[in-house]
Amino acid sequence: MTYAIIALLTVATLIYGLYVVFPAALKPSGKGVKRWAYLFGITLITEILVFALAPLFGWWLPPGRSTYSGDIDLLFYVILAVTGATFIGVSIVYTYVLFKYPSQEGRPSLYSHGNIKLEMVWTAIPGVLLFLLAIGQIPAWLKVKMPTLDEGSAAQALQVEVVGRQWEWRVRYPSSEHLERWRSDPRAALTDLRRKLAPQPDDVRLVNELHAVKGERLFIHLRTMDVIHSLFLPQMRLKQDALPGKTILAWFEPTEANCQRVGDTWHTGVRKDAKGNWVEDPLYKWEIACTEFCGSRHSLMRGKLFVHETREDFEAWLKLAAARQRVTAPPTEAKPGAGAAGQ
Amino acid sequence: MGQWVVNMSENLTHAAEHGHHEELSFLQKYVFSRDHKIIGIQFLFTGLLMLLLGGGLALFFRIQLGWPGAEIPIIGKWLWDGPAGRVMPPDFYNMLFTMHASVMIFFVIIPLLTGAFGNFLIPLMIGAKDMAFPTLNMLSYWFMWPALIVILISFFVDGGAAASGWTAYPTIASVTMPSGSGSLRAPSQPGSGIGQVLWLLSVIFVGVSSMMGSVNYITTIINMRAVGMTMFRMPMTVWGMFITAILQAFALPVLTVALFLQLFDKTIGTTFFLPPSGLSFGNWTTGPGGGQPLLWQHLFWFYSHPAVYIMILPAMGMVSDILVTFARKPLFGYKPMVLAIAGIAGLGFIVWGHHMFQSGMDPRLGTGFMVATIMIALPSAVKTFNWLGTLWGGNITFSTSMLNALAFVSMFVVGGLSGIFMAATPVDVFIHDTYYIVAHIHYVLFMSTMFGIFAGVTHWFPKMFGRMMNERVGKIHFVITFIAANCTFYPMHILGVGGTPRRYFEPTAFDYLQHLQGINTFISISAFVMGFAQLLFLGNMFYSLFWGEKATRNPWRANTLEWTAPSPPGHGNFDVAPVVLRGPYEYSVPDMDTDYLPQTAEVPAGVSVPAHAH
Repeated sequence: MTYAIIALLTVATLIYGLYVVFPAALKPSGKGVKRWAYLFGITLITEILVFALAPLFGWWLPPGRSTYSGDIDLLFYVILAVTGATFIGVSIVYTYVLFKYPSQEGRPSLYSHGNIKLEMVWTAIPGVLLFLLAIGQIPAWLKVKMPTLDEGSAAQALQVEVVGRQWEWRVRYPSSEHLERWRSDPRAALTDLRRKLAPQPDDVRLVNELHAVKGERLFIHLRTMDVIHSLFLPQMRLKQDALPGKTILAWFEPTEANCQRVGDTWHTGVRKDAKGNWVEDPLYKWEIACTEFCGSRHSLMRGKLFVHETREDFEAWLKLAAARQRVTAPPTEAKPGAGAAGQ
Repeated sequence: MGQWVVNMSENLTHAAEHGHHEELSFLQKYVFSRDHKIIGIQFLFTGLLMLLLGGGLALFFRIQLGWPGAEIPIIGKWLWDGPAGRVMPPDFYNMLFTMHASVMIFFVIIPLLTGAFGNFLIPLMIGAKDMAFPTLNMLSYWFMWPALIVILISFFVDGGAAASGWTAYPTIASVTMPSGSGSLRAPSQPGSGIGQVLWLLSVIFVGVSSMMGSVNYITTIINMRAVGMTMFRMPMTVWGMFITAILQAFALPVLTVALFLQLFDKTIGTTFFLPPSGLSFGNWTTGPGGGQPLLWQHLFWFYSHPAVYIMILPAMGMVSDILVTFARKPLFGYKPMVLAIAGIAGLGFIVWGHHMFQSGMDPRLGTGFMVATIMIALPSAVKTFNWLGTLWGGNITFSTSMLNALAFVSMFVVGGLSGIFMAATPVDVFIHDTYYIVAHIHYVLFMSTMFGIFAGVTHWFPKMFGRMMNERVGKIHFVITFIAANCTFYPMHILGVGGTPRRYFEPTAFDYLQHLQGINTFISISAFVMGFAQLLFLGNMFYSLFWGEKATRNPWRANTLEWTAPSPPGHGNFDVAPVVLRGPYEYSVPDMDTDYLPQTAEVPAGVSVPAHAH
């Protein structure tokens, strides 16, 4: 369907282009001249329509599913409204000028060097708007990038370490026993947060998957082993570069779950409907991408994000993952390797 | 072209007879020339040649994006006939986008705008005989050649040309692994070995060339203006070039230093960009470092942000002059336009951190950069409104150069407005390193600057070569390019809003991007149409050089000084030293027979004209 629309648009564009070119190119004056105004005008209208109609085709922001995705999306829409209105306004004036003022015998041009009053108006109004836009967004930015770290938020949150390397995400969770210790001593959670989740022998290690819990904050201690990578969770609106030599703290709090336990594995691509039943939904297959160029397999550093409905579900997964990891004898039956091989 | 050669030698002989110069050899006249016009034309041809290379590289990787994993016809057989089939390997793709950007930025746009147009137009527009330092000028062109040769050689070395993006971030670009055999290899990827070293050397040479040029332009504009040519009677083209030269002079040294630091990291074992903890690549570890990767980003972007203004301000100046000429109206708000250029340049020095919002830099620093970046939209908006004001009430002729200049204005609005999204740090969290950025870049660089270059070449071709370019072919080229380029770059905004990351060899690996793949194919097809349409422009130029209609001195009936000189001007430029009486934008002065009034022309009785451009 998409291909059909695109093919149609391409053909229409080419036909229109030829329609403009031949008369206007061959007859530089007279009726042909208006076609230039049409060319610019129709191009500008099409560009406005593309942004207006793209959401209808599903070519738009992946729906945001975290507590701060609303802030980010709101700012996006505010800017879209302001720039959209500006673009429409400028395009109207621009196209009008091209229609109204092609060269005419006997009509002298307006001999004017400008208008200082007008200049001041169209400098002051955008200036104020832009300044308000700049100041107004600072709280959202600081909320996303500089989370408050105190005993309360640390105790209630999960923590994970994510290490990027060419070309995978190495993920390390504290074990269930460690989480238990945080419940009994909230200061321990904050200490671990400040000490960048120092490695423990009983940590649960995974590759290319991240697990979180609906309604609970997840702090990510982000590192890299080799080059700069960047952790991108589109639906969570999280992006943070991983810088060699530094551990950077990022966080998100999902507002919806996307995974369901089936036997001993967890499957994504599901959501709870209004009645509380799990239904399949491809929009709920959430992924991890790398968004800082890192070499040959930069476009293949794909991971999966599992958001559990409840903390109990998450801890059940964590225990199973830990158990799978501690196999000391060769498995007698085919078993998935370290980490929950969920679908 | 033949007539041009005859004109040039006649003029040079004429000058020799008056005892000004001894007879110059062929090499001195046309190869190692110290005449700004020849040097400008040298930059023009070299730049256009590199445009073919840079554009070709882009079309090449668009094949992979439009048809992922497809066998590449013809070239695939030469390059990769092996077990993997004739499919493009990811490392080759990475090299392609790196070299596309590097060639376009360092070898096409900057040399064309500053080297070609700056050189050719500045002395002519201010009424000077030549630049302040002709020998330095000649050197600035010839320093491009080592840069060119080195960058071309880099395609053929072990590991291939640089592949870490034109941004060359450590540590993917900067770490090298001394190998037993003595050749330079990188643990992160093949292109970061000798290819990256050659890239660094090449860009250092480009920087030296640009710094030479900028010093020349600033001195010439300040010191060598004709009698009566005050700063506020200069055309906007010269203002654009002047402020661009200041940007280059102050920003380039920082880039040059950064390039040397990375060069030393790669070749003599320094650790400017290696963190103290060291790094491990697979089985191999670097030793401990003493620096940090973020340092490169600061140094690099301190230049590269002003660089993007270097890549648009000259075009803005030229567009202003072309719009005025074909609207037959004075420029709306001369002084505000000059202030706006200065404002863009000044603010341009304090916004570099907006390329680093997500980099791990302190977010509070990001806030500072964010405010400055959002404010930079203001002078750009003022310029756009003033261009509209210039057109309003005019008598517009839709010549080829005017069409290209009009395209600049409308498309710059798109590019400028899209910039506001990424200036907003929370939104940047989502769109950083996605195709939204790529769309913005190409709207300001191709849809604005490149159309400005098409306009400038068409407009000043008669002055450069004494012949006119073909209007019909010019218009056909314009229409196809305008439509195809919009079809190529506008959908990239949509890809970006959908979250498509940049620099991705494989666009199909992610579920959340599957539904956007058709757009990639559409973009690739449009890009090929756009690319091939440029052959019309180059063909038009080449044909017109030899067989174009002969040009008069002032085919566009324009006011500025270059149109009082012969087409093409001889050595020394002007028949008599110009005396400037007014600003450059006195078009359609009331009570006059003609609708233009050159800067040097006496005013007829009974007509009043302001002495200075407002």
